[in-house]
Amino acid sequence: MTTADLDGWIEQLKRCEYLNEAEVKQLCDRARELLVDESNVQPVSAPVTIAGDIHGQFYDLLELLNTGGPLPDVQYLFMGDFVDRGFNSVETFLLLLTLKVRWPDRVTLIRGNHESRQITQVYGFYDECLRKYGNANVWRYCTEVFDFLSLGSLIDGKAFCVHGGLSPSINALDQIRAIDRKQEVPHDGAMCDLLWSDPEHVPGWNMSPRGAGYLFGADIVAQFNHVNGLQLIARAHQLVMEGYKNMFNDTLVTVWSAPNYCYRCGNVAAILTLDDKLGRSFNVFNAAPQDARSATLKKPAPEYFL
Amino acid sequence: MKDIVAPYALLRHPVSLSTLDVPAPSLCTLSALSRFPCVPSHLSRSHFLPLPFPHLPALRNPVRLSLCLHSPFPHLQQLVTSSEVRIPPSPLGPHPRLQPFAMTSISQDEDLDAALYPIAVLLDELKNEDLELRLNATRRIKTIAEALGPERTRGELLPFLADSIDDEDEILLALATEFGDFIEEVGGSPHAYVLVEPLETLATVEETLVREKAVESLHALSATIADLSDTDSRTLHVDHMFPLLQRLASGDWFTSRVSACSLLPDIYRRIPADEVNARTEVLNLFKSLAEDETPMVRRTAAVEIGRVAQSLNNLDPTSIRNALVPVFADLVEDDQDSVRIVAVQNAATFAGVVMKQKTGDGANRVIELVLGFTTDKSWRVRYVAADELNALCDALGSEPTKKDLLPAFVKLLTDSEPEVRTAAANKVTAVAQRIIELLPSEIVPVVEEMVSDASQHVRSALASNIMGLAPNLATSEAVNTLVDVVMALLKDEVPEVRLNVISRLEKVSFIMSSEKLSRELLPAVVDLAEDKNWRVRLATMHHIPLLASQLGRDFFEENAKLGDLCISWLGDCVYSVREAAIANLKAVTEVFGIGWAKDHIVPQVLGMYDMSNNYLLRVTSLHAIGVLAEVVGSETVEELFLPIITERAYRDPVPNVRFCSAKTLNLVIPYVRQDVRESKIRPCLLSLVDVNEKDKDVNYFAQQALQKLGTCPS
Repeated sequence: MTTADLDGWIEQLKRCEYLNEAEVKQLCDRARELLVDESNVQPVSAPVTIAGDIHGQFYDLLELLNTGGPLPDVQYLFMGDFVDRGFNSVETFLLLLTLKVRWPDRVTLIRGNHESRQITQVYGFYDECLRKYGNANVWRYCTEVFDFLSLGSLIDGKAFCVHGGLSPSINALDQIRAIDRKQEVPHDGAMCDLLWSDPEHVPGWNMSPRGAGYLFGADIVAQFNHVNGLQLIARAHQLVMEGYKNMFNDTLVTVWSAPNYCYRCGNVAAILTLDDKLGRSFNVFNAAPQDARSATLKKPAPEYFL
Repeated sequence: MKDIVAPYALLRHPVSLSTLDVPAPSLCTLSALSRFPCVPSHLSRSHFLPLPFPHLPALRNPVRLSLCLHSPFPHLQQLVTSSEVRIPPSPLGPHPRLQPFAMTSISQDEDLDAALYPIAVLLDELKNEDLELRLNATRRIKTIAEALGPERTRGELLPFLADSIDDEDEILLALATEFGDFIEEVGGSPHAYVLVEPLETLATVEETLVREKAVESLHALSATIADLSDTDSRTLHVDHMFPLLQRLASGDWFTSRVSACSLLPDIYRRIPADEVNARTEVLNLFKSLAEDETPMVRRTAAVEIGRVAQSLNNLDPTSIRNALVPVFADLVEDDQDSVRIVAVQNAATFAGVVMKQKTGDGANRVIELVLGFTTDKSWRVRYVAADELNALCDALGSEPTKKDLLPAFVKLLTDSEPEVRTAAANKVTAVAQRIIELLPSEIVPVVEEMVSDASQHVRSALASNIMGLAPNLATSEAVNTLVDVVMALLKDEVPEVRLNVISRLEKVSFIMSSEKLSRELLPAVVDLAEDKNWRVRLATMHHIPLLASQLGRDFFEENAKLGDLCISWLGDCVYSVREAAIANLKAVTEVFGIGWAKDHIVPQVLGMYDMSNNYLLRVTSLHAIGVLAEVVGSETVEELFLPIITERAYRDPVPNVRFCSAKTLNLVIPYVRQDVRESKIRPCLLSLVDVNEKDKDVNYFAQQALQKLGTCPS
């Protein structure tokens, strides 16, 4: 697998044409080799552009890249939930993964609650793999990669990025670093909470209506940021109609990157750019227009014609 | 048992297996062969042929099999491999399907020609359960027919194929396609008529695709024979096609009558002149089809009426007025709007023929009918009428266009339905071109009204067409009105409308002469340039080079705002806009020249790098340098662009900026002299591949630029 192969795959995937099974295997093997060396809290240096949930909305991911800028010129951090719900989870995840493998220092992928075997069997990724490949191998390769994704990321030591939120069993970032993350997302405990919790305007820890993770208040965030010397927690996980939402005196921000979520919610999406001094700027974008979707829909003739 | 595996590449041609040393008949059906693990599974089974005499039960084991290649190219016709194989008895016994007609006689023939083996396979597959195989075999019936010869094709293959008429539509479609070019196979033009019958059956099936293909093939058959031989053409058309038409036209089910309609014009034309009765009969058939009880048939009649008129025009012109115009009138006044729509869509062809006849009453009646479209009670009909307007204008000629169609057009412009108004507005240019001296009193007031139309689609269509009126305006008063209209559109609340005006400005030099308008234009462009939808900003930018060439350098210099806009797009928050802004600067530079760019672009691009705290803007500035280097000349590149990279950008704290420096250096190398390359660029790049540079991507791009430096001619 050479650089030229990867560049070819990126071009192909950007046309929304997925890779074949053998190529996916190669890609996933290489991705795992890369990811295994990353920390549970992967350090990243600013400037970086942070994106939230994508959920298989492939053309909106292209719109995101059109808005934010292309790799490798722009550095990206995707905070999980790449798959499920949208029509093109396969192409979306494979594109992100190929970009990660091609530009490992420019792309950071962290795990969301949908990067899990159980959830993907319910919300569409598994079915999509089965439909596109006729077997579950590609799904298996991808879920094996999910196990190696980092749980969070730390930008210049000051901004902590995580898919869901905080956990009552975690006070310091070092406790996250001590988790053995290479497993299916458990039903409870620190690893589960990081991927499932939500911030809420009530003090302390509360039960989450999701049935996993917790709700945490401003006091919890203030304490966590103080203990760990943080300025900001950036997270995704919740739909926000305006694309982003600052909370708790701008000490926490939710970033949502799936415009018109599920092709019906009518929301806009956003990406957050932290400049070299961690100054924040949000870039709001809309769903890709219809003509940008159909233009790339043409499929090549099947190979079985001799 | 040895493997029989043919080299993959060779198998692109049909391959046949034949026995070399099997003296007696043996049973080796294709299905038996395909059970061999040695036969590559990716090969279609039709690549192979069975051993001869498949209907005989005796099987002698082992059998020596040879795989040889039957290819159209003799040098490829070779023995690929030969080996001894043991053929397992088929659990099903002798293959029940492998006994089509041809085999009975072939089996008598001991010296069977090897070339017939593939035929046996194909025949087998014509009845196979697998749709794909049947389809494949159907597409190759020419091969079968060639092998059988014309006589047996006619006597045996065609009846055999006729049996498969209740097959899947896909098969029928393939069959209908093949029959379109099958004359040689049945023995040339004297025998071509035998194809009429199978095609007739196909022309009556329920699936439209199959029917249409069958009709197309009948057309092809008729045309080919008409070209080849007069006598055969007479036989075919009088003795076969004409009765075919009669049968189809009186079919119980509408499908056959639809096919009859489509076939009718050509058959009419090809029935020889002396067969007057037949022709009259055909015309009567058309009349009755046009009054058919099902709208599907009437629609087809409406489609064909123009061609029927064309056929009649050469042979029996008077019938057009007497027979066809009333038929047309009935279709135009049909109570189903779907029929009327088709009638309108085909009216231009019909009207064209009638108008050419120059018989007053027929023409007047047609004009009357055409005008009727524009007041039809169904808006869909009026919409199609608006859409067909240029064709109708052309068909009716200039006098009726001016006298009758123009008022009708004005009526469509003020229609109650926005869709109709939109379609009509889209024709403003086309209609204006056809009426040289336009009556401003009629059309300009209507257009003025439309500026405040409630539907944005109408305004948008108007905006993209309004300029077409300009050359035809007679009075300066009308010109002023039009300028007002354009100005109003430039202030429209919907960006698309404004954009449409701006994108058509090249057609209207008259507008540029209007001081008032060019004053109005600038705010409109500025407004669009700052629209909150980035696609609008992008689209606006695409028109800037055009504006630049229209408005001229002076205008750009007087109105610094335009130049500022071009620069401000470079700092847009959306990457796609920034990227397009760079291309825009390049295009404007090409219009205004290097000197202008040095004053108005280069300093700003450099300034942007200087002032920017945002690494994305520094990156954009570097991109701009790379692109502009192609047009600003090497002096500017060396003196102004290069220092900013070689003194600052390559040491930027952000790795992205460093590798973008390397990418830009890569781009500017061709525009820099050799000595400057060595003294400025190389040291820079070398430090970016140095051990102190830890970022792999920076190393990568610097390495690429170094390679370019080594290979680029000075």
